[in-house]
Amino acid sequence: MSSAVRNALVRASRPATAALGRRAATTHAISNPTLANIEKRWEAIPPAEQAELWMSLRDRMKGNWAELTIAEKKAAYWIAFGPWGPRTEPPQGEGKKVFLYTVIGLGVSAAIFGTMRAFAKPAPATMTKEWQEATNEYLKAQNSDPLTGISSEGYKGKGHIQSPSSKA
Amino acid sequence: MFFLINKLVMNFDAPSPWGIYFQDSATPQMEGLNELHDNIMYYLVVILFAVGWILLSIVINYVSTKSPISHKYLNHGTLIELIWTITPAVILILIAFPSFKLLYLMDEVSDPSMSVLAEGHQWYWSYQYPDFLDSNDQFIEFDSYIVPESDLDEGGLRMLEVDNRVVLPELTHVRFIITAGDVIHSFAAPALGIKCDAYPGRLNQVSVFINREGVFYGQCSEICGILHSSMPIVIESVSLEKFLIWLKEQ
Repeated sequence: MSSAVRNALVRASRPATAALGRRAATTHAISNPTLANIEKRWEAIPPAEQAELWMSLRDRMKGNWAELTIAEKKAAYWIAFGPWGPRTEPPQGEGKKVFLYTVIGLGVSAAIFGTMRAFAKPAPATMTKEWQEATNEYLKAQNSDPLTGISSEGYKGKGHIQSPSSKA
Repeated sequence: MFFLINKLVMNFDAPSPWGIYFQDSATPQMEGLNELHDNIMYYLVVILFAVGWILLSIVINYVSTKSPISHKYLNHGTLIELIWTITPAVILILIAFPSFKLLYLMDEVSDPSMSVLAEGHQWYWSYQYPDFLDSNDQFIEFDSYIVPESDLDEGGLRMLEVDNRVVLPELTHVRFIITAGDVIHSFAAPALGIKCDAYPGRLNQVSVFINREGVFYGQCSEICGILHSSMPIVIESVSLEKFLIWLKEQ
């Protein structure tokens, strides 16, 4: 087969977009030095240059991926999925810091709560075991909550008893 | 007199400490509310566990260390979105039907045998029985104030007892007409399944049919000022004979 025919066949088998021609800059591989150590330099590169580099990589990826150089593949993967921007790894010990601040917050709340309680009035006279036993007798004698509550058949709960004895 | 009725009527229905369920019901309305609640809770627990399991398995299976880049460009899935939009809508409709049915059943005031006017004030309730006259040919009416802690008998329910209770006959259709004299209050008794706002210049009505004797406690249920918590409601359901005796005493 003559080389002319072979070239024609190769040309015909390419996708139409390829035949329309790509931008000249993207038909050539991006140089290795441009992409070397990209993961170390990326965040220091100004956004305009980042965009430009990414656009040229994207244009390269529109073609045959087998033609990409190793450096291009690595850089494209790292820019697309690497741990930068929203995917940055959290700084060392961040979990501990969050835990510590939460504990401090809870401690301060408990201290405020405790201080307020210390100045509060004592519990009402009804909050003693004796009173609550009397309440139970009062309600039981009057058949309160006869279906499921204190006066129901086989009731085993404590009823209204919830406080320590006043004599204790 | 109320001491006498306390001795005669052997029933009370009161809140219990740390109670997490309804008081025992004493009206068909409250039976209906209990049943609706229990039915919905059953399906709610099933849904809770299903959704919890889905969430948990997503968190476990798609944790970033396990599948760091999977579905980076997946923005939407029409089928799954349809499923998780339509299913809750259907569930809400299934809840809405029995709920509205019960709501309109409870709204119905069915041919009451007697009416009681309850008027909220800052901070007490006053009651009037417009179907009955007292010895002076006036409507029976009285105010109902809280019994303060210092005046409670041993074992009395703090913040719930009142000096004058609303006495009603059991197994009778009673209509409460509810209004207020100053600000908005709300007339509520959990065991009877009623809660109705009391507005100045407006009459609301609820129907109760108490199906057992007992004493039912409620509280004002609309913030009405500094002593909102100190205007409890006590409704005492007695047999018709005892009710007539009570009427005669007024």
